[in-house]
Amino acid sequence: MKQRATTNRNFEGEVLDHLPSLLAVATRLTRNGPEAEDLVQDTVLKAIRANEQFESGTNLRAWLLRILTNTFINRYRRGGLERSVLDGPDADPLADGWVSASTIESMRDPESQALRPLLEAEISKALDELPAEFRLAVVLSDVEDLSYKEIADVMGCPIGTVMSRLHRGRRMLKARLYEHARAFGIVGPEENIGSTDAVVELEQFRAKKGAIA
Amino acid sequence: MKACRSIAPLLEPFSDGELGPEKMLEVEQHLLECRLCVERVRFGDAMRRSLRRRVRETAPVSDAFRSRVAEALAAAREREWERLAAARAERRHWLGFRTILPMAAAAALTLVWAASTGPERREQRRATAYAQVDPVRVDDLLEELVEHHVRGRSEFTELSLLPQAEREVGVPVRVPSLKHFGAQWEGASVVPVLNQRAASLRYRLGNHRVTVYVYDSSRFPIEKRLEQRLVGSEPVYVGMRRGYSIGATEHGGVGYALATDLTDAETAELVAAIY
Repeated sequence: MKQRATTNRNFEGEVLDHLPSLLAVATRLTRNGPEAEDLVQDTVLKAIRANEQFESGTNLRAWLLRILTNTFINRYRRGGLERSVLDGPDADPLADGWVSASTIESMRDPESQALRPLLEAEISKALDELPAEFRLAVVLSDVEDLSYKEIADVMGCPIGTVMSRLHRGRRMLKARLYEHARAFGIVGPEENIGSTDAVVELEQFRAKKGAIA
Repeated sequence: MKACRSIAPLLEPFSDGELGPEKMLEVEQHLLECRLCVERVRFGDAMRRSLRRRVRETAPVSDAFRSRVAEALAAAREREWERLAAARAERRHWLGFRTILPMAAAAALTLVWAASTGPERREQRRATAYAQVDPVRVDDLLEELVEHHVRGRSEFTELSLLPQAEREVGVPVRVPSLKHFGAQWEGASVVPVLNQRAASLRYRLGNHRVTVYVYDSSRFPIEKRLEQRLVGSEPVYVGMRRGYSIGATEHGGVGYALATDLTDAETAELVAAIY
């Protein structure tokens, strides 16, 4: 049975329970507190008006986030989300084998706990600098825990596109974090630790790659 | 051991819980043997935790914002009521011209039927049937009927399936003909209402939707929260819930309730014509 046994007021209550999620995502999308609050208010009003379209048994939060995203696009980004894709080198320092396991470990778990807030602040800053479509994919997955399918519904794109946006968004965050960790001495320069991990300095790595090619 | 190169693209879907069982095993097997990939996964997870914490911390919902949204909702409700009231006024006008003759004919028929059975006896029967019921949750019951009217869908359109519905509902279910009002039957379903079951018969009347519920009247004391009204000499019960009009009547232990987006006077006419 698809009919809901809740009243309009109950539906309102359920929608309002998701205010923290809506505001968190809106804040990251707009990067502006007052605009984020306006966006959430618009979203809630639209959701209540369109409550008959919500299919009971599906994820209400995902449905609300879809309304929020569409409202954001219509109101602030008439041409859709940002398409600029920061086309840098395609190498991923952490996935391509030129950063060692111990280096990755020191970023994840810095020896000095005082460094953690520094790294976290950097992640947050880096997130805000991602193009909106990557930023939204990362927030919907990593903060809101939506499935790929739900993110695809929210963003109105195929699942493959979601995976690609997530991967590229996360890769940018990791690269940024790695650079930051290097700059602050949280991780030192890499040593060549043998063929298994195949860890070398980036320049060496590239030189080696070039020599092979 | 599989090469990191072939496993690396699977690490993110692995952490996101999006891999099928086979690929999941493949990654788990690799992680048992590869410290680098273990660190990649752990780093990804740590980054996710940090992101979640930062994003949530930086956008707390203030009491002021919560009140602002609540006020905006209240204002929107107010506007919606005004809109519905205006729409109802318009429909009243429309129905007056379009259906006044069939309505009058139905009322006349009802009058004949009522005279032959006597309203007092029916009133007594109704009182006995409803006496067993706890009326406390009648408001919830009305809300559920309206909710179903708004959201529900027909599950079958074959009349031959009605006996099956009767078994679930516990009373004879027949499809009242509302054709003389121009209403077309569209289909039926059995709906759970406050742990009971009612048959729901859906009609279309022009641009309006009408749902007729058929139920064991001893279990659905709907009239407790509705206003009694005479249509001809037929007593019916009518009221409004969430902008929808509800009408009810009872015949021989079988209850009929209507949820419509017509006016309460129109709904009363329809209810009175059910039998």
